[in-house]
Amino acid sequence: MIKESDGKIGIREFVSIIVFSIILKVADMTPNLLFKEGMTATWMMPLIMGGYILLPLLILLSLLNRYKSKGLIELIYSITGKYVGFIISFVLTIISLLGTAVNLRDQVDILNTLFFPKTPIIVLLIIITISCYLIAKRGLEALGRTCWLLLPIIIASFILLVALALGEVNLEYIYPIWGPGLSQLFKSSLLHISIFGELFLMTTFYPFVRDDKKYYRGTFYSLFIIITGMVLSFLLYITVFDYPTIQKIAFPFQALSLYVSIGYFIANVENLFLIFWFIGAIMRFSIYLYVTTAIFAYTIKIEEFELLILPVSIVTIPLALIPENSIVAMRIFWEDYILKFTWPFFILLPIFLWIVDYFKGRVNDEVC
Amino acid sequence: MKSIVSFFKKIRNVNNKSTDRRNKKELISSKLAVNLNRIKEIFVYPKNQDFKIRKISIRSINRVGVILYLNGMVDSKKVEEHIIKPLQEEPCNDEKLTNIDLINKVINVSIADEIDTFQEIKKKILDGRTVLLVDGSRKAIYMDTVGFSYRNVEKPTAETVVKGPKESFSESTQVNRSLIRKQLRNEKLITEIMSVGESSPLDISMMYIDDIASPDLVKKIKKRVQDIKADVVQNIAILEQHLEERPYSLVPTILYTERPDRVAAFLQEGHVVLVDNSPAALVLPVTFWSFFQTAEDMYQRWAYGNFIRLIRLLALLTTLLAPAAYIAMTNFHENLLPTDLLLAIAATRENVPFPVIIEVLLMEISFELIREAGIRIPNTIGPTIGIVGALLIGQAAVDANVISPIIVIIIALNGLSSFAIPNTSLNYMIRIMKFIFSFSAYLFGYLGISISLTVTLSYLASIKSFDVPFLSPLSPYYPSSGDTIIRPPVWKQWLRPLNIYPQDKQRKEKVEGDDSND
Amino acid sequence: MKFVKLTLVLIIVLFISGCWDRSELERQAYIVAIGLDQGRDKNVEVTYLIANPQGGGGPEVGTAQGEPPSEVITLEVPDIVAGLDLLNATVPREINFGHISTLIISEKFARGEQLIYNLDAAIRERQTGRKTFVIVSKEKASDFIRGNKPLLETRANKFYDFMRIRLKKIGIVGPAKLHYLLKRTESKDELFLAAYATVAKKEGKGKKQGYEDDYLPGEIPKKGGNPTQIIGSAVFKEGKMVGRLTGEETRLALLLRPHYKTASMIFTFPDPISKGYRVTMRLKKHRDSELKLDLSEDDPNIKTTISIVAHILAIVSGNNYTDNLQKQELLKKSIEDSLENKIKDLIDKTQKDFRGEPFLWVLEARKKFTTFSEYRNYNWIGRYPYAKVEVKVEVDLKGFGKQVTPTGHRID
Repeated sequence: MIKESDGKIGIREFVSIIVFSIILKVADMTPNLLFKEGMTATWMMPLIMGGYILLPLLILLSLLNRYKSKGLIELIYSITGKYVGFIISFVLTIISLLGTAVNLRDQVDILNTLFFPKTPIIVLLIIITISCYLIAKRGLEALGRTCWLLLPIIIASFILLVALALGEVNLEYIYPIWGPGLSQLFKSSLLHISIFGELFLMTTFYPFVRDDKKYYRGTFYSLFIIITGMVLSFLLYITVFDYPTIQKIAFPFQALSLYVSIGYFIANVENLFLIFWFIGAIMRFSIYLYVTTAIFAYTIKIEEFELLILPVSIVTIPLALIPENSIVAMRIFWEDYILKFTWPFFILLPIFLWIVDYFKGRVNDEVC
Repeated sequence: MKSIVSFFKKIRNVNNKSTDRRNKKELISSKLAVNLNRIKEIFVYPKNQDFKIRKISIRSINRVGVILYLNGMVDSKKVEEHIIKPLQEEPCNDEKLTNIDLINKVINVSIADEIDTFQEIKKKILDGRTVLLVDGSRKAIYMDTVGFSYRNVEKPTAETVVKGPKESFSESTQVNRSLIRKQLRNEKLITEIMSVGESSPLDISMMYIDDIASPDLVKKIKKRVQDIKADVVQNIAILEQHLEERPYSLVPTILYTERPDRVAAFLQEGHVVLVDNSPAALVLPVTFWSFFQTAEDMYQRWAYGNFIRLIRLLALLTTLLAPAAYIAMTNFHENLLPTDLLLAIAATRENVPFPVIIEVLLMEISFELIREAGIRIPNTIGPTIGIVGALLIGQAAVDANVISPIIVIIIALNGLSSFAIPNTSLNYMIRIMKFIFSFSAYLFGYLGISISLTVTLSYLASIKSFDVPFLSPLSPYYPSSGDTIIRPPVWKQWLRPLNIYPQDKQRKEKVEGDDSND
Repeated sequence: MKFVKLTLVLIIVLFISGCWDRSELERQAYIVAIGLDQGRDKNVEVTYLIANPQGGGGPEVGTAQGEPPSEVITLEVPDIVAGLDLLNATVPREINFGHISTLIISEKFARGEQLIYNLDAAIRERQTGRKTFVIVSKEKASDFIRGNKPLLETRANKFYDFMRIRLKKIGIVGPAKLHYLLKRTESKDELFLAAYATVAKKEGKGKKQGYEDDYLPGEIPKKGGNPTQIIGSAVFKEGKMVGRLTGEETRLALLLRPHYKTASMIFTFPDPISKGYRVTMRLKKHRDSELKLDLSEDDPNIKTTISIVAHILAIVSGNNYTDNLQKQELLKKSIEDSLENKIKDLIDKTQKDFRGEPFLWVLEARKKFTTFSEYRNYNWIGRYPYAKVEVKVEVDLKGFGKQVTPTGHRID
C-alpha cells in the first residue's frame, strides 16, 4: 500500500523545523539585545522564558487537541468568529511578516559587515530571498526533511565550537551570579518572550503533523533542545568574552568562531562554522517565509497557498530595507516596536481563546 | 486557434487507427496455403532471405506441415534434431492425433504450445521461436529454439568489487534471469514478461518477490511500461529513459546495475527489477542510498564496510566542493586562511595570468576531456598517454606560469575522488553539480556554496522515485535496517526498509540479546 | 520569450553582482603587523609591515629570487584605517588587514590618552582579530619594526608568530592578546600585561645583574643574533600604560593568577649553602592556586597559596641537594622563601605604583556579590591598594634529572 504523499510530516521533521526557526537566533544580534539587560546572568534568561511560555503553550495545545484537524488560525476563527478572528489572525500575520523582514535584515547586515562589505544590501537581500523562496516553494514536507537532515550537522558543529572554545573559557566570568538582580531578570525575560514566538506560530501546522498524539512530546523535545542550545551558547559567550565586553560585540557568534581557531592546526574550522551558519540561516528564513505565507493564507481563508509564497517573499524585501542600519533594525524596530508590543500577545492569546471557548461551551451546553 | 486544435486531433486519430489495426486479431485459417500466403506477406518472403520456410511431412498424423523460423535467431541444431527429426520420423500410431498430442508425444523441445493468431505467430518467430503450421489445423504450434549468439558471462566493468561475486549480466534475458534466480531461490520470485515497442516489440521481464513487494508498486510499474509508446526500445538503457518520471532532472531515479547479486539484494527488500537482453538490469524504486552504496560495503566486515563508506562520502563531498571551496576561499574569504598558506598560494599565483575561476574552469574542462578520451584510447597507448598528459603537460603548464601548482593538486584530488563514486549516473550528476557549485562560489563565496547546498538538499528531499521519497529512509524517517550512510552489522539488519512499503516487514526474527555470538 | 529575456538579464545581473567583494588572492597586499606612534596633533604614525609572498623563500616555481621578505611603510594619518587608501599611493595592491597578528605600540604612545580610541578602529573594522599580539616597544614602533632583523625566519609574520607561542610557554611575557587589553579596559578592574620589547642599540654587557630573567628589554647581556629583545611586560590600566615589569616579575605575576598553568619556567635561586652560587630549577605550576578573599571589612583581606613542582636542572656549586634529604629540605625552604620575598616586592609594587592588580584576583571577588551593581559599588580597584595580602609558596621537589649525585662530589 503505497501511501500517496499526504502532505503531512512526521514528528521528527516537525521538531527539526521548530528548532531551526528559533535556535539560530543565537547567531545574530539577538544575544546582544539580551546581554544588555541580563548582564552576566543572561544564560538564565532562556530558562525563565521557557517557564513563562509553558503555560500558554499548554493551554493552546489543549485547545488544538480538542478541535482536532484545525491549525492555529482556523482555531481562532472557529472560537472567536469571523470578525474578531480576522483581526487577531491579521495581527498575527503582521507580526510574522515584520519579524521575518527585520530578522532578515539583521542577518543580511551581519553578512554585509563581516563578509561582503562592498556588496549593496539590496543585492544580498534579493539573493537570499530568492533562495529561500526556492526552498519554501518545495512545500512543508521538503522543509521538514531538509531540516531533519541538517539538524545533526548543526548540533555537531555547535558541539565542536564548544569543544574548541573550552580552552578560552573562564567560568568565573559568570559572577556576579544574578547579574542585574532577579527582578530585572524576570522582567527582561518577559519582555523578550517573542523570541520564542515561532513556537506559537508553528501551531498553524497542527493538522499537518501526522501523529497528533505525539505533538505534545514533539513540542517539548523542541523546547528542550532550543533552551539547552540557548543556555549553552550564552554561557559560552559570557565565559569567553565576559561582561561588559560582550555587550560591545555586535555579533558574538561570529566573533567566537573567529576567536577560537587557534594558530596552525585548527585554522580552517572557522570556515566550517561559517558554512553551517549560512545554511542554518537560509533554512531559518525559508521556514519563516513559509509560515508567514501560511498564516496569511489561512487568515484570508485560502487553502492552497503555494503560489502566495512568491508575493510574500517579494514584499519582505522592501520591508527589510526600511531600517537604515542594523542598530535601527534591531534595537529600535525589533525591540522597541515589535518585541515590546507582542509579548503580551503570545501570553494572553491562548488564555483568551480558552476563556472564550469555555464560555461558548457552557452556553452551548445550556442551550442543549 | 481552432484549426490548431483540430489539426492535433486528426494526428491523434491517425495514430489510433494504425494501432487499432495492429491490435485486431487475425485468426489462422485451416488451409495451409492461405496461412502461408499471409505469412509470406508479413515477412516479405522471398525478399527476406533470413526467413526460412521448410515443408515437412508429419509422419505421426500423416499430414503436411510447414516449419517457419528466422535464420540467425534460432539454434538450427535444435530445430533439426528436436523438431524436424521427430516430426518426420515418429511412426504413426493413431490417425486422430491432434496438435496437442503432437506436442505431448512427438516434439522434443522443452517449451512448446499452441497459438492461433497471426500477431502471435509473428512475435514468436521474431523472438527466435520456431512455428509449425499444420494443414487442416486452426492452431499453430510454436517451439522455443532461441539461439542467437551472445557474450559470455564476464566480470562487471563499472561495478567491480574486491570481495564478492564477479559476474555481470550478459546480452541474453535467459542468462540474466538465470543469474538472478541462482542468487535468490525463492518460490515466490515471479517473472512477468511484457512486450514493449510498437513496430519491433521486445520482451521485458519484470521480476519481484510476490509476498514482499508492494502490489501497488508492481501495478504502477506495469502500467508505466505498458504505456510506453515508442517504436522500439532497444535496450534497457533506453527503457530507463522512457520510464523515469523526471527526464530533465539531474537526479537519477532508476538504478542501472550490472550485478546480479545487487539485484538479488534489492529484490529481497521489495524492489522490482526489469531485465532484458542487455548487460544490466533496472531496479526501481530507488533512493539516493542505492546509488551511494556498493555491493562491496555489504560483503566486507562491519568495520571495513563502514570505513569504505565514510571514505566514499568524503570523496563525494570533495568532488562536489573542492574547486568551489578553493574559489570561495581565494576570492572572498582570504582572511579565513592561515597566513602561511595564504602567502604560499599568493606566491605561486603572482605570475599567473588568469583569475582563479578561469584556472579552475580550464583545468576542470581539461580533466573532463581527458576522462572522455580515456574511455576510447586503445589499450596499448593508454597508460603512456596518462603519464604524458598528467605529468609532463601539467608540469609544463605550471613551469610556464600558466597555472599555479595549487590548482593542479586540487584538480587531481578532485578527479581521483570522482572515481570513487560507484554509480555512473550519480557520478555524472556530481560532476555537473560541481560546475554549478563552482559558479555559485564565484558569485558569492561561501554564501553561494551554502545556498546551492541547501537548495540542492531540499530539492533532493522533495523528489520521489515511484512514490518513494528520494532520501528516505533517512529523511523522512522510516524504520529500516539502519543502512544508510553507515550500516549496522549484517545480522542486525532485521527490518526491511519501510519506505518502499513492503508487505512483509521483517527479514527474520529480531535479534535479542547482546552483540557477541557466545 | 519575455521570460527567457528576463532570466538572461537576471543572470547577467548575477554575474556582475559578485564583483563587489570578489578579489583575487594575489592582488592583495597582506599586512601582518602594525606599529603605532604618536604623530603631530591627534594623528598617529602608523607603520605597516606588508608581507611579500614571494620574497625570501617561496617555492622554486614562479618565485622571484632576491625580493625582500617584507615591505615597511610608515604613514601619518588620523587613525589606522584612514591610512588604508593612502597606502595605495605607493602600494599597488588592495590592502588586506585580515592577517594582522601583531600590534606594536611605542611606549610614549601607550602612556598617552589616545591609544585606546585608536584601537577602537582596529576592532570595528571587520578584519582585525581579537587575538592580535600586543607589544610595547621602548623606542618608536617604526624603528622597532625596521630594526627587527630575524635571521632564521624568512616570512615576515613568522618571527612574531613563533615568538608569541614560545613566550607564552615560558612566561617571561604574558598572553598579551588585544582582546584582553580591550576587555580589561572596559571592565576597569583589571590590569593588562602587554609584551615589552626593544631593538637593542648596543650589544654586550648590560649594567644589571638580572641572572636569568630579571631584565627589562635592552638590559640583557647578549652578543649576536637578532638585536630584538622581548622580555617583561608593559602594565596597562584603563587603556594607558602605567608601568613595567621585568621578565621575572612577569613570571611571578602569572604564577599568582589562580588558573594560569605554565609548561615550564627555568628559574635560578641563590644556593643556600654556597654564597654567590645559584641553583637552576625548572618550575611548573599544575594546580590552580588557592585564593581566599575576605571582603567583609573596608580593606580586602587576600590569602593565596601557590603550589609549584620543581625539578633540579643544574647545581653549579656542587652541593649535594639531591641525595641528601636534609639538604633537599634546605633547598626547598630556601626556594620558598626566595619566591615569597620576591612576590611580596611585586605586590607592593602593584599596590603602590600601579594601584591595581594584574593577577585576576578580581574574578574571585566577583563571586562574592550577587548582583552586578553591588560589585560595581564595591570598587575593587579602588580598595586593592589598601588590601592586606599574604602569599605562601609550596614547593615539591619532584626530580633531578638523570644524575643522582653531582659530579665531582664525594659520596658522603
